Amino acid sequence: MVLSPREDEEAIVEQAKYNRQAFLHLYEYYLPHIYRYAYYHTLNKQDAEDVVSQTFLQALENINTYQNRGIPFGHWLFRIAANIMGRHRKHKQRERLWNDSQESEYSEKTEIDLDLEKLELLKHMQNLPDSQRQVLELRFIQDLSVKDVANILGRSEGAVKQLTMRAVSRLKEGMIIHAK
Amino acid sequence: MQNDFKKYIHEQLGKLPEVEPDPAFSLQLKKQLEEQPQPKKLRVGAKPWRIAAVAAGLLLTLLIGSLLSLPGEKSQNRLGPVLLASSAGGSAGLWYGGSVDLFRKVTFEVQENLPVINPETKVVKLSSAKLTKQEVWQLAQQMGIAGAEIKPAFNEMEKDLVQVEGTNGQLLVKLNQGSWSFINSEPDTTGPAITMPEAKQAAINWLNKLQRMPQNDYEINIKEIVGGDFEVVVSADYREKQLEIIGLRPEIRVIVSSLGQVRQAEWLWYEAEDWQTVPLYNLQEALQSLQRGEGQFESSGYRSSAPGTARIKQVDIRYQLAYTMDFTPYYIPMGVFQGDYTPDGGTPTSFTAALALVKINTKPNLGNFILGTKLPSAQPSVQQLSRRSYSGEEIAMIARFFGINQGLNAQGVYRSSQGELSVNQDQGGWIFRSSAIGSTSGNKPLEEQQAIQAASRFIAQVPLIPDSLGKAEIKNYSNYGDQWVIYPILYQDKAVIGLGLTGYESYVGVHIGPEGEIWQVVCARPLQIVPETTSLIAPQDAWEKLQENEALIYFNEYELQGILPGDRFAAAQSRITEVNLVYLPGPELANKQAVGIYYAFTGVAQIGEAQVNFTALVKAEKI
Repeated sequence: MVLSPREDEEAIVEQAKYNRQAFLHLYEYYLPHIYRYAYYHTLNKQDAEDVVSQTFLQALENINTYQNRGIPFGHWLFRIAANIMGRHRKHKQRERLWNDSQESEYSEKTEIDLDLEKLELLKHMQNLPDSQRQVLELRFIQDLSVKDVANILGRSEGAVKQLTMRAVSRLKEGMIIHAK
Repeated sequence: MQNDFKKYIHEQLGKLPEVEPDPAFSLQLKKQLEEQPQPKKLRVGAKPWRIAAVAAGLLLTLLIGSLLSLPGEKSQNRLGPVLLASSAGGSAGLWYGGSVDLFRKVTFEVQENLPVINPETKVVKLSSAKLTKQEVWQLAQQMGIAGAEIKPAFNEMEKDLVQVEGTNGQLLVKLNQGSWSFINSEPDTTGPAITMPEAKQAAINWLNKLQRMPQNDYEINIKEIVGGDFEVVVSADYREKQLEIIGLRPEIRVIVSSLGQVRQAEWLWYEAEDWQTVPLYNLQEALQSLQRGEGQFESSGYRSSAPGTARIKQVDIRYQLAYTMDFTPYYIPMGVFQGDYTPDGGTPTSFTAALALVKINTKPNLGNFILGTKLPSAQPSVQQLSRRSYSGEEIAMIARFFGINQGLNAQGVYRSSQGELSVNQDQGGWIFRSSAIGSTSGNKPLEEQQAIQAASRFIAQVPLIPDSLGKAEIKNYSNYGDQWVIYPILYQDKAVIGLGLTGYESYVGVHIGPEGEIWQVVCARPLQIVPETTSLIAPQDAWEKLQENEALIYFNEYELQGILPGDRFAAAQSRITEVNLVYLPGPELANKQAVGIYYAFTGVAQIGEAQVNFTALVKAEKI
């Protein structure tokens, strides 16, 4: 699933500022992308749906402020979703006493069949700092370019590359330690 | 190698199965979006409080160092233990890993000639920015927040965090640090666009109007951000005074709309008030401190509790924002050590360690401990503990109790429409998570007694729950009306304490929803008593050790969590109200071996203006 703007997107976004049907066109087009992003971040259907709902409701609420100045509408949605998931994660951290003294429960929450290798990788990604984890999710799960990820996260391309490098290095370290 | 691993990650993540939103959900959300009123003006969103991260980052305090001296002594530097402000890798939440690292087994060596650390240097005392609720209210009025009410933010545990929520804006304030975040939810959407210099001036004017524009030691930067808005950043700059600041620093961010209105702002600022001279560690003392687990140590080759050697090649003095326990801000000197770290049997990688260099006081009874209770009777020995695992049959029995009749799935989880039961293979515990979790929400949790009754009734029915449970305690970590009831598991009447949120390592926890429904049940790290015994020192001997600073001082409060060595703790008075024997898993438990036994002296310390609950742990094992 490749994220690319609709050809007529700019016009639709402008219409969406006063026309709800235009907004719903955008919703239908971007829903699968945002859902995939949210699902593989939360690994939980209910949580993913919460993130998706909040993302589109917030986008609708703020669409009057959106202007495409090098940030395509899709990237803007991803940015909103990323912020929501950041807050979501913080709430979850406090909610889950289980993490206090137990191993991560990540693996138990998946509702689709994942092979153990992928599961293990996702589990380790959960331990990365938010910024590193977001970069990996956007680059490798969403298959976005460095430039697009930089655009979404409001960082420079160099910073994205550096975050990727750090994330890979930290994951490698974590997985090797785990394997020991 | 690194590239191969990156390729591997890319391949694995790129091949994740497609996931589709549930059609019913898609339709429902579409309908909801269809029915939403058209936004004419901006409205307050879902509280995108960046300050929460800033504040939480500040709360992620690393407990280290005491700038010491006994009360009554004339000293310029009676700061007490300090809290280092930290963004902790951008991750918000409670964290104790930054205090004494009991699991560190690194030997520090000096490989090359290092510069001598000066015997003393300056600390910068900063002006306090603490706010009262009245001052918060006035600030909100100055900002023009209309129809506002002031209330606690998020949840009751964050006592110092308050918010003012109005019809046209929100203000969130951390009272003790004086930091705040503002959102203007109704900026004008019409008018001429402004230029970058005009945006900068608009931000300065706004800060001046609030009397919150820094006076000294700052620089201003501005950049255009998404949507044509501008971000004006005022940050601390002490380069002229030869102070290089590391870590989280005072900063003000103001977002000015393309039409010239302040849309958002975050504010954390302190002016330098006084420069004080303090004695510093010499290199050997710094190495000893690092060796016993103080400060931060980072290396890609480092594994907690695994031995290794760090060879220091470079030492630099930097400054970091820190708070005394009553939240007076300072910049304190930090030693930043760099070199190579080699795990035993491994290959060298680079490392960086950072340590507060302010010298500690070695006088006895730094905490001014007063015994306000009787010492327990002497006990010659206690039995030791070891790991207890649930067998497959036992877990199946527990699963059946929770209505799960299917066997393990590929991920090692029992799952049904009732919920999931999973086992922690490493620690021997288990957790049940009901499918009803999150199904209800409310602002108010059940009354404590009701919650405890509901939890106690429930766990009395769960098979194979340890029967020696201690007194129930309520822990409430969210503002969704849910709460946890925690029962420490007792072994010969002694709890196994932990350094995490619950305060226990071995416990049974019941997560209760706002309507009394059971959301989760956890049996964490069950242990068992074994015949081997440990001989104990007498309580009186432990009390004397405490007065000789031979203890670990443990704090477990929402905003203050971590461990200090006894000789890094200083207080005007520390009144002990309870003394118990407790188990504490040491580094060895990571290897599934021993659990240590300690005398726990619990009490309240007066540190500056703050009263802080603490537990001082003194090793009880007779050697």
